[in-house]
Amino acid sequence: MTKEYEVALVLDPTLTPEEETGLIEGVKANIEKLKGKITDTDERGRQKLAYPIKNHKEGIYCYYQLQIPPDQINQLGKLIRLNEKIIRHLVLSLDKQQIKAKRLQKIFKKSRQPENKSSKEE
Amino acid sequence: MDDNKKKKYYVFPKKICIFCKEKIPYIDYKRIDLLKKCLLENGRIKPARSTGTCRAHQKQLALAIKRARHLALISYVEDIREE
Repeated sequence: MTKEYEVALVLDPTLTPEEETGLIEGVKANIEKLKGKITDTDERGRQKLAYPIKNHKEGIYCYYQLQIPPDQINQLGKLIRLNEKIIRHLVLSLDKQQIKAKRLQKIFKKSRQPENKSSKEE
Repeated sequence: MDDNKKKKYYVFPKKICIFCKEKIPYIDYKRIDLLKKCLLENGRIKPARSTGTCRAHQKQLALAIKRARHLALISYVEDIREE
């Protein structure tokens, strides 16, 4: 039995791009080790924080949607918490309705973008 | 007394929940543009009676805003003092 979860990470902005990819791959490897499967990734890069955290003014934002057995999710949370380069994190479990709504929003966005582009070109 | 009774007051049009209107079943904490509509200038959550959101959506909205605050997408308080 697997369940759908969403994980949000805010990484330290002082990381170099190489370290950043290394850290992200480390998290992904951890997920696979716990018999999890990533279904969707959304990496948004550097963004300004609304308020300073540990004197940092920026953060690297990454969102993942994954399927993992429910008894392993605590283990994953622990691994994330122990990493000092991750400033903030959030782990959510998703309902069937929420997954459906997310898919719909994605389709809606995709269908909207080409229309806007075509209208601008005209 | 009679004059008071006859006075006609302006009847405000009934507010409609914007999330019901746009058919948003799940409010995502990542959609900051949507959440910022329901915040006061100083960062507090607008009361439902002023925005007209329905009870079910207001509950979801409050949760989404609190999650966004934790991830530093929205600030907890905003200083609006003039210096």
